[in-house]
Amino acid sequence: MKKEAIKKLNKDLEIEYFCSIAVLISSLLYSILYLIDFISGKGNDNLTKFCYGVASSIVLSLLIWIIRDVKKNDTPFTTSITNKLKAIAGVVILSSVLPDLLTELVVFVGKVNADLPAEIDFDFVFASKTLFICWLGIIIGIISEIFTYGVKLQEDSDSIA
Amino acid sequence: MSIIIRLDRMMADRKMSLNELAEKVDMSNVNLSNLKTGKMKGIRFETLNAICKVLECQPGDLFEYVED
Repeated sequence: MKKEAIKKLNKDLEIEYFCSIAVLISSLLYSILYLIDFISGKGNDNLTKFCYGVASSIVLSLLIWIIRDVKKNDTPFTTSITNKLKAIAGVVILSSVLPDLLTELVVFVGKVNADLPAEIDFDFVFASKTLFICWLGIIIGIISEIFTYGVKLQEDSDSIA
Repeated sequence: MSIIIRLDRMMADRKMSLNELAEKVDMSNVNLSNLKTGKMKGIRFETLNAICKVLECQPGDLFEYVED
């Protein structure tokens, strides 16, 4: 039964695997383009987009790594996969605040250097986009904790012949 | 554990190697070796059924209860 289940899981994950690779490549390319735009002075908004691109690339890389681990270990319940899920949760939670904060900081430093009145606007923290991404990270964190329980069950199942 | 598995004795009586039994019951050598040495927590009815079929024995022939 286990062999059939893992065979089906591997087959189902194949589409996700190739989609993740395609999105990762496009995400990396967009990140580079936004970075170039930011460096060439086409607006600070490009820095925010670059940060989102980098965060997406990290999350997608971890997802691809997880799918490869599932194929290698023949089970999704391993400590390594749980740790990667926790890492994804951390990156998602950080990406809810960091890109906007970084952009605000860059704008702030720019204004200070130009001797203009400057202050950091923290309104983005309570923006619906920020809260949504933060909730998403928390949900992934909860799923990773459920996977920790799954790892224990897997170990128990493996010790039955 | 008070339950002792007598798989080694049954295999010796039938002159069957671990590899041969593992192949016949569709189990990995490592798992069967762990079962033989009592490192496993339990055994599924499915596995027990396959072992009994191959070794032509009863489940009771494979296990023994001893007082701690």
